[in-house]
Amino acid sequence: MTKLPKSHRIALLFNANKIFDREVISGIAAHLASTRASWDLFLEEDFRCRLPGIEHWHGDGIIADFDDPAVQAALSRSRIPVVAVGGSYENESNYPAGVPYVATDNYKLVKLAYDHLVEMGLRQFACFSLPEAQENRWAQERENAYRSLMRRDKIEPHIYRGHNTYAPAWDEAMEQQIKWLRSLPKPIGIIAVTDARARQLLQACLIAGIEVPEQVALIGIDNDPLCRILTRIPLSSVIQGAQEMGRTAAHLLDQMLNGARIGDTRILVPPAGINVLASSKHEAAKHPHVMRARHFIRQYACQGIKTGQVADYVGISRSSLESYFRQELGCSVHDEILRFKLDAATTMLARGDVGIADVALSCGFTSVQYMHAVFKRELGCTPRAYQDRTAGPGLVASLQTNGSDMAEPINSNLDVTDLCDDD
Amino acid sequence: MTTKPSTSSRPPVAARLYTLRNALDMRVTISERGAALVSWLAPDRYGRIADVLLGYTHAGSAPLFDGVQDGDNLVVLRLDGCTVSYQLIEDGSLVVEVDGAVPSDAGLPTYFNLNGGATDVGDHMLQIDADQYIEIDQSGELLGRANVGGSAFDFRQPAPIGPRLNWPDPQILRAGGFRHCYCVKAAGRKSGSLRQVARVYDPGSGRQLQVSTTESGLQFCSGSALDGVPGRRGQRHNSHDGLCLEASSGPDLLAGSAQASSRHTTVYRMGVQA
Repeated sequence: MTKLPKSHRIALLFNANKIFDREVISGIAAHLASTRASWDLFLEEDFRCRLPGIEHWHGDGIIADFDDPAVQAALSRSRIPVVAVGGSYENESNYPAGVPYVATDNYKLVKLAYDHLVEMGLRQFACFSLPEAQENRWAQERENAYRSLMRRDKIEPHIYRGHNTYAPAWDEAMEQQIKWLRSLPKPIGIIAVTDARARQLLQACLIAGIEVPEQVALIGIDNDPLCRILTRIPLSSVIQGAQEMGRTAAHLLDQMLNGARIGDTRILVPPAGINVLASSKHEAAKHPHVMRARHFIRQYACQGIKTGQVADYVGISRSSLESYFRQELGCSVHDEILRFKLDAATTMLARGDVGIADVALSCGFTSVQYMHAVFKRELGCTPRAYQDRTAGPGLVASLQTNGSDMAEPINSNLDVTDLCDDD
Repeated sequence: MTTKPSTSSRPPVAARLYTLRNALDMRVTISERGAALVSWLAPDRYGRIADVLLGYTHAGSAPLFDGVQDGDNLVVLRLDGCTVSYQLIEDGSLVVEVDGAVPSDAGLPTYFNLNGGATDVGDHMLQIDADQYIEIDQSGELLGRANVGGSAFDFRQPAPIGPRLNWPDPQILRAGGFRHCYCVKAAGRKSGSLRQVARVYDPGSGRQLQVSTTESGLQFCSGSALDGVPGRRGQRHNSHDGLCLEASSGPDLLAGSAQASSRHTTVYRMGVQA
């Protein structure tokens, strides 16, 4: 049976300039690579969505971002099968009628962020949202999720929507954010509705001299690598199940193209994980000098700072700072700086595709040899061995049972072309 | 039914419990009743300890094994030529070795819930390294191999369990969820070698379970059979309160190779993902 499958013409209507939409599309591609389905995909070359005339397009099916009200309106009378992708709604009536809908579970995204902040010891919480708009109803849904969690736990809510930012108003927006930050009780955990939003707030904290995460512990949503690079303190973030949403949407459309009637099937996808980094690693109160010193170290460890500079920043003598560190943390200032450098280095190495010399340079080690020595002393292995052990699919088992073959990693980074069905 | 007591020195109802420990603050409890795993206390991302096994009542009529504990981390249980050993090692691995045919009425399923039972396992992220699974009929009989590609059964990339239960799929509808055997033996691998075949991760607690086995199959149950089953504290479980990932010889049985391996090893490794 080697009949050539019928090719379908499928349009993907997304504004794929954001990590979330791109991941959804990559999930769709992963589905196609693993099935016999043959789709000719139609999407604009800049991956943005152009709606005019879509109703005259001769295609077989559409997967579209229904967070965009214009898309939803344009497709409401579509005669070809449509699968909607978007945010979940607390209120049932906000879902479009008669369309299968694959949603990111906004409540669970916020709950995961909140539970994490609670576990980090915080007792007061705020939400940094976006101005209300039809284009970001998901932000309001996340705000509502935050509000209902506060109600459930009888905690006073603090919500700030801020302004839409544009160049002439950047400074003013920042000032307003700082004003809001200063008005909040401390310490406080803040959930930002996106990483982009979290990044702005993190910047405001640094400019205002508010310690992160000692005074403000911050977490975003999206796990956007760009936002991580653009912040001086690594940003914690909730990872959406966007790829799974893409796979699900493609599967549903496939079913419809094969004649299945799935009506308004709705599938909510929970978060895929949480990336815990420095911005939310709040610890119970330490001496203010130690908190201030660690705040400085967190920002500048990888620029090769020395104990003297930290003491200058805190405004006390080197020896007093050292004694505070011994007392509160049981280590020297130098140890603490080194720990941050080591953390940064192991994080880089775990990503796999970096050279050892680059890692040493960007993590503030004076030489490759020195980094090598620190690794041997602290981790008992060389940077190269560390990289070999951790890089890749992240599923490497190191089982030490006798008499059997060693476990081997699951091949989770399969090239999509390897997933094609064999006949 | 083999319910005869294996020693005459004590009444048949008295099942002793054995507790294994390691330096990661883990405690694993095994019962002589069915040589079953009854509890596994393990820390989460924040160091909080919880039981990651479902505490459903193990009373039942499973036969009684005779156990011997050797130090803090090894227990060996025997019954009628069947030996089951559990070894807890320092990296969080529990090595389960079975030698000899397990009496058919033993072998109680082990249900995991990595968040300690706070919620069901719908949000657990599952990954299974298998291109094929075995379809079943109404009564659970094995029908034949099917490709996972593009279906709800495709867990080659990590995916949450809950949403997959809602995919329109006749096999899932028929079984009320997942209770299917995955073919986890990679082509060209010699049989009997231990390899990692699955991973479960709970985003909330950060706990992660990796499963390795020497068997050709891995039975994945999403817990649809749990509805109404009494739990440890007398409460009734709901569907999907726990999940099962057990080594199985399903693919060999399907292929008609009668030589059910008499000796196999499964390793459950519990840990946390930052």
